[in-house]
Amino acid sequence: MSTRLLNKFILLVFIFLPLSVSAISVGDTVPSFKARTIDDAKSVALEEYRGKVVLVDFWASWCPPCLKSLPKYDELRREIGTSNFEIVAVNVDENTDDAKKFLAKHPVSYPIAKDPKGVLPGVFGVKAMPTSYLVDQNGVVKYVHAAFKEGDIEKLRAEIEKLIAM
Amino acid sequence: MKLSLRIFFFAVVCMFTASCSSVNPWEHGILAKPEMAWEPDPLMGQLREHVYFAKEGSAGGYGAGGGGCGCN
Repeated sequence: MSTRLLNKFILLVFIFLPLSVSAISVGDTVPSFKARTIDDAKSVALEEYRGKVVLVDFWASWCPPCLKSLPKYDELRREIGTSNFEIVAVNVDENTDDAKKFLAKHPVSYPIAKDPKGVLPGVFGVKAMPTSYLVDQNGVVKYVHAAFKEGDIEKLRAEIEKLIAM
Repeated sequence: MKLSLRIFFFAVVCMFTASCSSVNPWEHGILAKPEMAWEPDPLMGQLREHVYFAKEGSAGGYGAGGGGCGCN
């Protein structure tokens, strides 16, 4: 009996082993999600923005490069306009109040979803903070950018404009 | 299945039950707190290191990886 049990256990492990999630990369279809906004006023669903180029940005209030990127992204969104482009940020602070405190001082105009349990970064396979995914009008990931430095905005702008022009 | 093969697979399975764990990049919030830093007060840290060096005649030999926000 113990031999049969051992065999079954080994079989189960090898069945579930290949089911580990791999990171979303360029060419993959972006995972669809729906989450509450950080102020709990409404829900934001990625599907709503199909037909636009979308930047999905994972950030947290304890991440200094994330905090630098937010006003830059806000400025980028204002410059490009929202008819063909949108930013959907996902805040992963375990305590959402920390994010709200930051946003009270530095508000942004784009929707921010909250994910205190960290489900979405796991689904996306986020490897660093911050990480942003540029998604085309058909929901395909075209550009993945981890980290944030001053010069990154121009590269991102070029990628966005290239996708909008298609 | 031969006993030796079963033992081999069992050993492989046991390797996956090791208790080491890693912190996901989006879970570094607590590690990023100032009180979690190896040295929350850099100036005091340098003073201590200097005193240690003066008394012991040696330096270094401490610290470890990890901690902080891990951001790029």
